[in-house]
Amino acid sequence: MSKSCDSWSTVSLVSLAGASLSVLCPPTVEAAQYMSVEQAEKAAFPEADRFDARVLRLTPEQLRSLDAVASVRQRGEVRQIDAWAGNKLLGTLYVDDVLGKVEWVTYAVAVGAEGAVRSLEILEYRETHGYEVRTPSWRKQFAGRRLETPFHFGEDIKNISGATLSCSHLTAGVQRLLALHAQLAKSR
Amino acid sequence: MSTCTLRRIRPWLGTYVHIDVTAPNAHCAETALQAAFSEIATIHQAMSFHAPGSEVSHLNREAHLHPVVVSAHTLAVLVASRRFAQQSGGIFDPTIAPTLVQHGLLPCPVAADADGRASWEDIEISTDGQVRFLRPLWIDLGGIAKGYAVDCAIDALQHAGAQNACVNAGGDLRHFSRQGERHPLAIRHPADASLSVPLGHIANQAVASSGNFLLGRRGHQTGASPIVHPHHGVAQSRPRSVTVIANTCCEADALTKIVSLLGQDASPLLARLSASAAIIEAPDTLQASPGFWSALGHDSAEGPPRHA
Repeated sequence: MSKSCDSWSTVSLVSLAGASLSVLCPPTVEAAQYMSVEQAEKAAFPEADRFDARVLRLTPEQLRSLDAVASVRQRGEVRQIDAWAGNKLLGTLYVDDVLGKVEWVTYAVAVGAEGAVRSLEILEYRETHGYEVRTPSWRKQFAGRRLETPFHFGEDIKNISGATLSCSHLTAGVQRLLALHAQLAKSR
Repeated sequence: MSTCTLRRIRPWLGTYVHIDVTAPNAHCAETALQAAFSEIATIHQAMSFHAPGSEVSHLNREAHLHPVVVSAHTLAVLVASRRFAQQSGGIFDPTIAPTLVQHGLLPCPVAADADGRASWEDIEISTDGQVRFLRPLWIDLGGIAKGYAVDCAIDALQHAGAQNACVNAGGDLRHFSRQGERHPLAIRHPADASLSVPLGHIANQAVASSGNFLLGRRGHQTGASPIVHPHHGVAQSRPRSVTVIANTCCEADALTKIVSLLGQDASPLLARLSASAAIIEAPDTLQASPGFWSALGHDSAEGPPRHA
């Protein structure tokens, strides 16, 4: 051990929480919207003059067939928005939600008329939604210390540093949407 | 003066990359965002261990057979990796991928089997930018490339005329402000990812964290950690996290691995790089290196004022 080790200081996280009014953030987290659906439509298909939107309610059979492609918690309702320039179909924007371990993501995948992905944008990102309480005894220490106001991700605290959250469930969601797109293209 | 603030998030580098940017107008903000994401995409594609078409995969397949030419980005990360390996006495080692593959943390690459004796010292970089491995080995730049990508994104945002920006690649983040504005910083609790602990503010600094939580495993029952000791190969499995504050995100990213393994013995290297660190262990302890609290804008070396 080098001498400089002596000057490391130790504090308890509970005392840090007590010091600050923003305290430890409760697990109810509000959504941070990054893009609206309209913005995503325009960004993906700037040359479009018309968008036709509908909601696809996936049947249990469809969901099962998509599970075979990639397994991820998906809502079962996908917004499908066709982009038109005059009578020419430019492509389709799919808006969907996937649930990860600690975050819930609304995303938009734009597929061109030729079938290639044009863009992938995250529209909304919520952390810790539906997240289980991992260590109840530890959390009990903070009972009564938490602020009741919900934590606005990216607003109250803009920078959260922590171990990396994997985006693999989003990748799975995109794979499912592309499989769905292929199924729908056949039936069109 | 009116300004435009935009926020975007896209999946890159195996995680979610958040970018907040403030620029003089909407066009400038949009151009800056596109430039930053384009840099990140380029770096992701070059340095992915998973993608067979990446430069890293090319190196792992062929660099032990003949010298391989790589892009300036990959070269810069390799040079930085070697420097951190040297400075940490081999504690930081970009050639530990076989252990990560063995633990199922990385997929097995299509490449010759790595030589068990290989280390970072077997990576030879010539002055004209060619890379050669003296033994068959697998490099994985995952311990540093994310931080490097964040730095490049910040450079791109600055170059495109941004006034303020923050790039956060799944916890490896860097903040930039022409006016020196401060930005709040919080970290996740190592035992409970749904809780974040506010620590203070940063301004024109980088922060990175490493921990073995939030990888789909539960608190004390965590399995293998991606942090591997190159000499012992033993992965730590305590719910512990390390947060490093440094001038660049590349440094912060690499230093988290070094501090995770060396603990307070990393002090001389932290001091040499003008960086500071905190080690957080469940259930409730935060050990801060000298300079950690002042880097977060606190006057006291003991951190923010608090209740008993």
